[in-house]
Amino acid sequence: MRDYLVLDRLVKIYRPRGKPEVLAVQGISLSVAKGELLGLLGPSGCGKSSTLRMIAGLETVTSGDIRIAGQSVTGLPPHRRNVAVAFENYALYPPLTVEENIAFGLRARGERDVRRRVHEVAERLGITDLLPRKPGSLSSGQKQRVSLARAIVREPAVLLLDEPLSHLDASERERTRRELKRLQRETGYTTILVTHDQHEALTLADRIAVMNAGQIMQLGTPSEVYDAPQNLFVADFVGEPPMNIIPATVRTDGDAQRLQFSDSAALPLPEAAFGDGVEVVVGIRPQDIQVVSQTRPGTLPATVFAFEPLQELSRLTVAMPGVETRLVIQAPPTSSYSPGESVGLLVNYARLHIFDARTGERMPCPWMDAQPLTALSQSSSSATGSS
Amino acid sequence: MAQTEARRLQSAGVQVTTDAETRQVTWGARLLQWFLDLLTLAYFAFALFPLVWMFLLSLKPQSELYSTYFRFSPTLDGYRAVLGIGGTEEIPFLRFFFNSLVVSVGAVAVSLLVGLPAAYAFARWKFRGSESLLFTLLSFRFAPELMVIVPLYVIYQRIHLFDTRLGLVWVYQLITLPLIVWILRSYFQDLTPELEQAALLDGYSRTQAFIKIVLPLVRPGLAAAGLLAFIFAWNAFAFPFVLTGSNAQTVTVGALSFLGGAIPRYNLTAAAALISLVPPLILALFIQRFLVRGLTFGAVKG
Ligand SMILES: Nc1ncnc2c1ncn2[C@@H]1O[C@H](COP(=O)(O)OP(=O)(O)OP(=O)(O)O)[C@@H](O)[C@H]1O
Ligand SMILES: [Mg+2]
Repeated sequence: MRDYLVLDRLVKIYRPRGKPEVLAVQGISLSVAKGELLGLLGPSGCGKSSTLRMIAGLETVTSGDIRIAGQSVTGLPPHRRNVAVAFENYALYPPLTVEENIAFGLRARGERDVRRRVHEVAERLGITDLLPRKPGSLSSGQKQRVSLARAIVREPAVLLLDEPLSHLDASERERTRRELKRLQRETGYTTILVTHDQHEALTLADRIAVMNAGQIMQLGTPSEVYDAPQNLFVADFVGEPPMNIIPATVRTDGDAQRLQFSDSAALPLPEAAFGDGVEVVVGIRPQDIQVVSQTRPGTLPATVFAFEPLQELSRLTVAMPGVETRLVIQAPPTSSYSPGESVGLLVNYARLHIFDARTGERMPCPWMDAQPLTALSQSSSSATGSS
Repeated sequence: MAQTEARRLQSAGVQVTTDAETRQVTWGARLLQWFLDLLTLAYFAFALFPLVWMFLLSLKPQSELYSTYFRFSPTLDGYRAVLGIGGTEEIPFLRFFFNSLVVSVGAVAVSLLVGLPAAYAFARWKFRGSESLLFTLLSFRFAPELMVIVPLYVIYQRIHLFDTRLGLVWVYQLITLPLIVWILRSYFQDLTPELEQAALLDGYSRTQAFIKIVLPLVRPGLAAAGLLAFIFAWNAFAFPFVLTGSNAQTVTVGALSFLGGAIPRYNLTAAAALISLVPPLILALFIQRFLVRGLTFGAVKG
């Protein structure tokens, strides 16, 4: 089913007493297929949790509609939506054992076979030995797993995860993330994962909705979002280290066209594609710039500003003549540069992102169509690194 | 566990390395400990002295009350007189005692009944006037009782609540209700609403979620607030002093009436005061268990 969970022009306005109202969610529409894992990615305060809580029925909907399996659930109380939530703070019940916690929802509904089902889920999540313990004695990772178990034991139509990994330390997070991926694959739950961690979204989600200020900025697969950001916000938000973003003007010289960064720094384009004099913003990821000798033809001249040798990749910061914005480049770990050194930059045109300076929208580049996007994303998604 | 173990080993290791230094450190630490113990003892004596004095006073015969040098032949006559054993009781102290019990328990019960849902609402929702209502409640605690007592006296006379236990239970709400609401509210606020929301998703109603999830978790708060409110109600003086006559009088006022005769009988007042110490003491000992359990509950959170 393509449209298993549908959000239709969903709006949430908070009207706190004595304070100005907050437009938390401003008319978002999206549909999630059955068994799909959709990542809801965005900065703090962009309305992710509000959206999630509206789907769960914990928050009233200001306007718009929510449908699950073709049926509107907008007016239904939480327990009649067949939706489960794994809360950020786990929300485990301290006086009960892990087993009782997981069984709690089943008992409330008076379901049968509780014991067997609890043990099955526990087995699946590898927490069988935790069953007799109280939540207070568990680590964050274990609590998170119990919270997940409690959510899925009911076999909900839609599983909602609000920042499930945010309170875990790095190694726990990595492990739980892999578990989550495996679990979701095996069980095939329709899942919405809320996160502000792009690494989490890029590695876990089938599709990502990037949100900002209550709106969806882009909806697409991780490689679409990463390799073809639709606007400056997505370009800037997704990717670690962040994309270099430099304003430029399009200049035409007969047949040839170039991006003029300053009087003395220009990047020739492989094809003329834009109107002359158009103001644009150019985005280049740090891993898509190659540092070569300045004597090579077709390079951008630059001066080394700083060089940080890091473990796996070194980080080089360079300045182009007359350009205020510095460029960050990922250089091979074996390389070495000293400040003030003159270098030449080679840009991977296939991975050059050009945005309209006025609207911030992506401008199509004709030379990119020649290369298939997926082939490119192979090399790039591994470069997202850990954040 | 592992962490404390490591720390223990570490401190043991430090002791091994520099022997001379350690001895010095422990001497300093011991001296400090002695000093602190001394200080504690001094405070203990200071705090206990009035009680001891009262105790001695309560055991003195009438004849020794006013002697300027220490003469002490202990007798239980004072207690007998107060409790009306083997003689005629001039003052119905036992009735006052019973009044105090009924009024204090009643006041706390009413406050819990009203205050528990109120505190929950104040903790979970902002509604019109919630802030000012809360503040008004608090203001009952810091506004002096004497400020309202004269008008209350007039009103109570008029609506026939003067010198009744019901009247006291009602007016004690000024004392107990703010305590209960404010203490319980902070307990409710410490509980994440997600606990109840998880229950809502599981199919419990709001009321069920409150009774099954929230209430058991705030039990230590309930015990603490109830105990404190009981002590405040038990010790109340101004309200019963003005608003009761002989019928609904409480121990706090009653104990003083031994001083009202031709000869003030301090020994009887002391005995009465000590007797009236018993119920709060028993209650505190009984409730202490819940309070300590409350502390360990805190470790479960987060
Ligand atoms: N109950 C509320 N009353 C008033 N404003 C609220 C309420 N809940 C959320 N908001 C506001 O709505 C906006 C969106 O909040 P929301 O919790 O959905 O953001 P979020 O994307 O989940 O952020 P975070 O990553 O910090 O959890 C924020 O500006 C927040 O301050
Ligand atoms: Mg949130």
